[in-house]
Amino acid sequence: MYAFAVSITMRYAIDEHEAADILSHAFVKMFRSIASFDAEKGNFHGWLKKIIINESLDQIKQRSRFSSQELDAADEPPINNTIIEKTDAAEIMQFIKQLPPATHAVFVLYAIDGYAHKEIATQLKISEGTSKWHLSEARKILQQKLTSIKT
Amino acid sequence: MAFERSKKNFTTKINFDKNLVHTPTPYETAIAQKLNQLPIPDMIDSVWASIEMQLDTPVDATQKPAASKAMGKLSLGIICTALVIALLWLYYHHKNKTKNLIPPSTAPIKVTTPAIDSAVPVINSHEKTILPNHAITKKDTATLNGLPLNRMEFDSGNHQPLSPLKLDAVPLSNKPVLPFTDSAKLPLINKPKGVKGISDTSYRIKGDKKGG
Repeated sequence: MYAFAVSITMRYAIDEHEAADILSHAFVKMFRSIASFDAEKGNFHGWLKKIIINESLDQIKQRSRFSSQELDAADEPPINNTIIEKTDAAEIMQFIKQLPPATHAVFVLYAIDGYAHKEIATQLKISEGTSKWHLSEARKILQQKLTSIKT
Repeated sequence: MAFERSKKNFTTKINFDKNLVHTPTPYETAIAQKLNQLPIPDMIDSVWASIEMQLDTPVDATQKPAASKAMGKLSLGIICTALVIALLWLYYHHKNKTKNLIPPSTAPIKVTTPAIDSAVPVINSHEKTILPNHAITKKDTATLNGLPLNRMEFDSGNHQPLSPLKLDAVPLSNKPVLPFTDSAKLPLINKPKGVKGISDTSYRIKGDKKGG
């Protein structure tokens, strides 16, 4: 369970210290509200994941603000998957962490943790258009960085 | 399966205009797979120490901000209520003050008329006119013998005693003659307008009582 919790936290945190902070707060919340856990509504890992993500987003909200940018639709930049396969995981993680905080959060929520734009908008209290804009920005930046590795 | 597809070397180009459906691109799936390969940092001790420290702190301390927030809201409500009450009090106080400044509507004055004394003239307080009990009759005829008792008493300031007329003829009869009075000096008799206590009988001529 520890590995599971740390892997989620590390996607959102800037460094290990912030990850440890988020993780400790999340575990305390989990212990204090363990009585409210209902096994019929979902499994324990899903419940813990939600607590960790919420705590991570609270942390991100404290250190950054989400600018309101609207985007209805955008073309996805083409990325060669071979580049990703050849790139080290830590390097990719570094690229993601170099994204602006809000863009970083939206990208991780959408691309890795499987949230839809509507859910992201509700979580971060932004519009769906803003969520799309952040994702588009993340894709553009990552595409540029991954392409630069290739060259 | 997505990971398998991503292994094939192809370029993706998808419009992401789907609002509710979560559709990660193949390269995003590939990134997710890659991130799972990240080594887990060993920070379990520091995390556990932090958890212990947070759990050891009393719950009241963590709930203090919420309590203070509630107290803040409560005090704000009390202040607002007090302000509203003060404003209402000021409004009504001011209203009452202005009411007091306006003179009350003139109530009808009840004129209590004293017992009518035939000798004392009635003064109409409302019209400031002297209303004699006895109707004064104008006498144009010259007095044959000036009897001071028969004359009306006036204010000394207005009274100009007339010298008795000298008679150049002998009186024809022995009938008593009323003294001469200047009509200009007599006060005007204003008809009273509905003053209580004065009836038509007050103006009745009762000349026979004294003269007779």
